[in-house]
Amino acid sequence: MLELIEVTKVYIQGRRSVPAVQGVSLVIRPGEFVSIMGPSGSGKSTLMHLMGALDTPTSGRALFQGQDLQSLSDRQRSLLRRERIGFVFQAFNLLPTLTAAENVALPLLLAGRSRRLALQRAYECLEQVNLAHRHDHFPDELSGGEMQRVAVARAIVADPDAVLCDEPTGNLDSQNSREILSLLARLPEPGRRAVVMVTHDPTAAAYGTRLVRIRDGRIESDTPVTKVATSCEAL
Amino acid sequence: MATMVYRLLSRRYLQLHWERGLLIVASIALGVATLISARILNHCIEVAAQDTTTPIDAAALYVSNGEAGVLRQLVNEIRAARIPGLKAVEPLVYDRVTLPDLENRSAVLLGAEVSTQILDSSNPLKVQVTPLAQLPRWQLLPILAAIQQGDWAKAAELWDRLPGRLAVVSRSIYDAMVQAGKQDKPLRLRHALRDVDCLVVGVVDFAPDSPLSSLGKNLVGMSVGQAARVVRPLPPIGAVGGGFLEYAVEQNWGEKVNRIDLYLEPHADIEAVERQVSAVVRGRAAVRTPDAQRRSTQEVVGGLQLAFYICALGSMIVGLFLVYNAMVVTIAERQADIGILRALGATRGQIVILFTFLALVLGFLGALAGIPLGMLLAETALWQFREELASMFLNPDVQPQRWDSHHAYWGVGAGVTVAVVAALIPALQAANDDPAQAARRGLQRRGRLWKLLHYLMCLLLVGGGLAAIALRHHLPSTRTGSIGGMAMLLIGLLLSAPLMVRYLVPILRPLVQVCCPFVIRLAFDNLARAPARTGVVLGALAAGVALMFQTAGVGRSNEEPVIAWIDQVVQADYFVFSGNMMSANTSNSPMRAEVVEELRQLPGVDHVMAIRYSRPEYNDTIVYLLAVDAVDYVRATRERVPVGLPDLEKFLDLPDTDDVLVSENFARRHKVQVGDIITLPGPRGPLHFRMIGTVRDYSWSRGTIFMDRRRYAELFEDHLVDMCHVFLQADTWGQQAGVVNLQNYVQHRGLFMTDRHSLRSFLTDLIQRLYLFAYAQQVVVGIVAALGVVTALLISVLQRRRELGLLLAVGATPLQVLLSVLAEALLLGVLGTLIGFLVGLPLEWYILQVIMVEESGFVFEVVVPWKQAGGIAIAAVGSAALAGLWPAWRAVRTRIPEVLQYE
Repeated sequence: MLELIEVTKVYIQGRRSVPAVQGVSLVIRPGEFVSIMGPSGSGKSTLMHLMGALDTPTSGRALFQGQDLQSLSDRQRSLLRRERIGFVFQAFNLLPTLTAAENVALPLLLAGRSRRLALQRAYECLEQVNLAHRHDHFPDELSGGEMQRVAVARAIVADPDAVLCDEPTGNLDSQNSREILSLLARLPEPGRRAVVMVTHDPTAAAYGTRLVRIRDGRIESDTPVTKVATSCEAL
Repeated sequence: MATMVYRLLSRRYLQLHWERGLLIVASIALGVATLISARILNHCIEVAAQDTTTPIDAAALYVSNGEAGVLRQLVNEIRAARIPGLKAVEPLVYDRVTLPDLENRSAVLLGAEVSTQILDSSNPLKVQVTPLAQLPRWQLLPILAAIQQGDWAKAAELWDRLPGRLAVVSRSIYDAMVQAGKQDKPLRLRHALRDVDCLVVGVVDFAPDSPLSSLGKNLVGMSVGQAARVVRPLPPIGAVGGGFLEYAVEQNWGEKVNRIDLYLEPHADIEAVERQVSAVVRGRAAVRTPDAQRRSTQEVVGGLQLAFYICALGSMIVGLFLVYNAMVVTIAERQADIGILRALGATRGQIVILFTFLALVLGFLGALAGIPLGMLLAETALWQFREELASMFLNPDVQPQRWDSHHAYWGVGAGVTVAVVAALIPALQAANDDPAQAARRGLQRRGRLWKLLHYLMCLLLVGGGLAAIALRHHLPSTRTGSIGGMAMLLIGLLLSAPLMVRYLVPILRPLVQVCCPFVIRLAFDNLARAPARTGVVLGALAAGVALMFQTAGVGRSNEEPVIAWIDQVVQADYFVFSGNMMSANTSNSPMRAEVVEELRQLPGVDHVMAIRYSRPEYNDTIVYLLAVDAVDYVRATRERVPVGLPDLEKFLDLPDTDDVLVSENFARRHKVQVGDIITLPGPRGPLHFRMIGTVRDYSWSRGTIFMDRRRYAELFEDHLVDMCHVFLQADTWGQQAGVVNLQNYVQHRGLFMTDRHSLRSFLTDLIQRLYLFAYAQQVVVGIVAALGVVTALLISVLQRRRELGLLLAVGATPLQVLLSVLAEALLLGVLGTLIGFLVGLPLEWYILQVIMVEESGFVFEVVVPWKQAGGIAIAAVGSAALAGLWPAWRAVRTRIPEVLQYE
C-alpha cells in the first residue's frame, strides 16, 4: 500500500542543511494500524508527509499502491490526497468559517460533488464519530475533542485507502484521547484501508498493531505492538 | 470546481472580516469613480468642442475654412463638375440668435437649401416640415414649377430671392409663439444687435437620429441665402445709404456660408471624390473628411482629456496596490487554511481561483459603488462650469448626454480587473506554497523568482519611463513620451517602494533608536518588520502628497505671472458685450461694428478698443486670433500707464498691414520667428501674414495671433465685434458722465457691461475653479491612500496581538498601547509626506519645464508652494493619524488571556 524505499529528506535552513529523514525504508500493508513513535525532531512528521504526498523526498522513492509519488504531477498528488488519503492533524486544522458538516464535506466539495450529496455523506461520517448533533456548529463552538472527531470524520468522508494521523491526541486530555484513539482503531479495513499514526505517546502507540520507532531520522525498530507491551513490562 | 465552494469559503470569510472587505471595496469604488467621472467629463468636453467647430456633423466630406467661412459660389462650381460618387452638395449657415419677442430665448439659425434639404422626403437631415397656413402660395408657384422640372438649383435661387424672410421653426418655438399669442405675427430674430423679421411658414419635427437633434428644441430654419445675410452682415457702408441701398447691396453681396457639406453615393470612393473636389476648389477652402475636420479640435482637447484619464489611472493604480496589500495579508493570515485545503486535495488552480474569486466579488461590489459616485463627481464638476460649457455650445440649452451604458461596462470592467490583477500575484504565490510547510504553519520562503520578477518590473517601468521621456521627440507623439513616460516612472517608483523601504530601514534605524522615544521606536520597528506592507502604503501616501504638491506648485508658479498679465492688459474702465462674458469670448454673441462708433460718440468716453475673437486652424491645431483696434489700444494704455508696458508699441505697426504679432507661447510652440510667414485659412483661400514680434499673452494654450481689426474685417469679411474695452475720460466729470451714458446706452441696446474689478475677479475665479477641480481629483487619491493606512494598521494590530497582549500584561496602560499604534500611523504619515515632497518637487519642475512648455509653450518659473505644502503636510499627517484611530482602538481592546493562551 504505502512504501518508502531509502528515502532521505533534507531541509535547508539558512546556510545549514538539516537531514530530517535519512535512508528510511518502510512498508505499510493494507489493513494495518501502524504507530510511528519517536521524540521531538526525530523525523516522524516528515515521514508522514512523505507518505501522504504532502512533500517529496530529497532522495529515494515514496510509493502509494505501487505508484511513485514523485512521478506524479502536483495536480495528481492533490487528487490522490483528495480521494485516497485522509489526514488527521494535531492542531485539528478545521476551517473556522465552515460548520462541522461543511468541514467534513470539504474534500467532496473540492471534488465537485453537489452540496446536498456532500453534506449527506458528511452527516453519515459525523454519525460514525457520534457528533451528528453538532453538525451545524462552527469550530469555535466545539471542544477540542469534538473538533478532533470532526477531523476524523473528514478524514474518512471520501472512503480513503489510507488515513494518516499526525499526533492526533497531542492537544487532548486523556479522556478525549482515548475516545479518538478508539475511533482510529476502528478505521483499518482488512485487505484495504491502513491507518498510520505518528505519536510520541506510548499509550497512544499501543492502539496500533505495529510499532515503528524512529530516532534522528532513522528507524530504530519495527515490531508488532504486543512485543512493545512485553518490553515495557520487562523494564 | 463548483463555484459553490468558492462562494462558501469567500462569503464566510467576508462575513468574519467585513472591515477588510469594506476597505477593499472602498478603494476600488474611489478608483472607479474617478474613471467614470473622467469618461463623462471627456465626453462632454469632446461634444462641446465638436459642436463648436463642426456642428451638425452628418456629411461624408466638408468644404470649410473654419470660422472664416467659404464662398457660396463654390457650391455651383462643385455641382457643375458632376463628380462621380457625389450625391449632394449642401451649403450650410448656422449661428446663434435670440428671439426678443419670446423672452430673449436663444435659438440656432440654420440656413440650408430649402428645395433639396427640406422638401425632399429622403433629405439627409431627416426632418419633416409641416406647412402652416401663412404660406404665400402665389410666391411659391415659380419655385414649385422649378421643382417639378427637377431644377433644384433654380428652385433654391428663387427661394432665396423671395421678398421677406420665410422661416420654419421647431415645434417648441412654435408652441411658445402660440402661447404668447404671436403665431400670426412675424418672428423677430436678433443677431449681433440687428433685428430681422421673418414669416413662419412651417414647423419642423426631427427624427430621433437626425443630425439636427443636438440643436434641441430651438431651431429657426431659412434658406441658405437669407440666413447668410442675417449672420454675415454687410460692411457698415451699406447701412449708410438707407434701406433701398442696403437691399441692393445685399442682393449682390458675395455670400459666404459656414461650410459646404458633401454627401456621397453608397460605395463611392471617398478619396477620389475628395481629390476631385479639391481640384475644383483650388485652394480656396480645405476639403476634408470628418475625422480630419476633428483633428485640430482633438489636438486641443486631447491634452485635457489625457490629464483626466491620468488622474483616474493614478487613483486606480493606487487602489490596485492597496488591494494587493490587503490580499497579501489576507492570504498570509489564511496560510493555515491554504495548507488544510492543499492537504485535503485542493489543486493549485483551485487555490488561485479561490482568492481571485474573492477579489472578483469585491471588485464588482466596488464598481457598483463607484459608478454612481463617479456620476456625482462628474455632475459636480459640470455644475461648476455650467455657464462656460453652455457658452461653448451652439445651442446653449443643450445638455450633452451624461450617461450611457458603456460607462457602466467600463466601470465594472475596471473595478473587477484591478481587483483580480491585484490578487493574482499573491494568489499564485499562495498556490505555489509548499503544502507541507503550510500544514505545519511554517514560514513560507518566497521564491527567488517572485523577487526577481518584482525587481524586473521596477527596472522596466522606471527605466522605460526615463527612456520614454528622454526619447520623446523621436516617438510618433511627443505627448506619449512626456506624459506616458512620466506615468510609467511614477508607477515604477510606487512599485519599488517596498524595495526602498527595505534599504532605508537599516539607515534610519540607528537614528530612530538614538533620537526617538520608546513609543516611536516600537512603531518604527513594527513598520520595518513588514517592508512590503509598509512600502506599499508609504508609496500610496507619497503619491497622493506628490500629486497635490505639484498641483499647488504649478498653480502658484503660474498664478502670479497670469494675474500680473491680467492687471497689465485689463486697463479699460468698462467692458461692453452681448450675452455674457463666456459667450462673448467664444464669439457666440457678437455685436455689429456700428456699436464701436456709437460708443465712441458717447460723452465721457475717451477711447474704445473693440476686439473680435476668432479660432482659425494653424499647424494642425486651433489657435486664437485677436483682432484689436491697435491704435486705440496703444493710445488709451499709454495714458493709463505713462511708464509704458512691455511690447505695447509693437501694436502700432499693425494697422493697414498684413503684419501680425504673436504670443510668446505661439512662437515657442510653433517655432515661428520674426519675419516668418503665417498662413491662415481665409474665406477665399489662404491668407498670409508676416510675423513682426512677440508679446506676452496667456489667453490660449495653443498660442494667440494679434492683428489690426480693420485689416481683419477686410481680409476675413467679418465686420462683427465680440467685446468693447471702454476707456472713460480722466477728469471727474468725464468719469461720471461716461458711466451714466454708458449705462443708458447699454440698457437701450440690450447689452451688458462690467467694470475692471469684476472682470478681473471673473478671470481669477475661473482659474481658481479649474485648479480646484484638479485638487478634487487628487483628494480622491489621498482618500484611497488613507484607506491604505487603515488597512495596513489593522493588519499590523492583528499581527501584533501577542506583542500588544504582552505589553498590557506587563503593565502598559491602554493609553500607551493606543499611542504606540497611533505612533505607527503618524510615522507612516510623516514619512509618506516627506517622500511625497521629495517626489513632488521634481514632478512640479517636470510639469512646468517640460510638459507645459511642450503642450502650450508657456514658460513659468518653478515656485515652491511653501504655504500650500504646509497645508498638505498637515492634511496628510492628520489623515494618517485619523486613519490610525480605529486600529488603535482595536488594539486597546485586545483580550490578554486570549492572546497569551495562544502563546
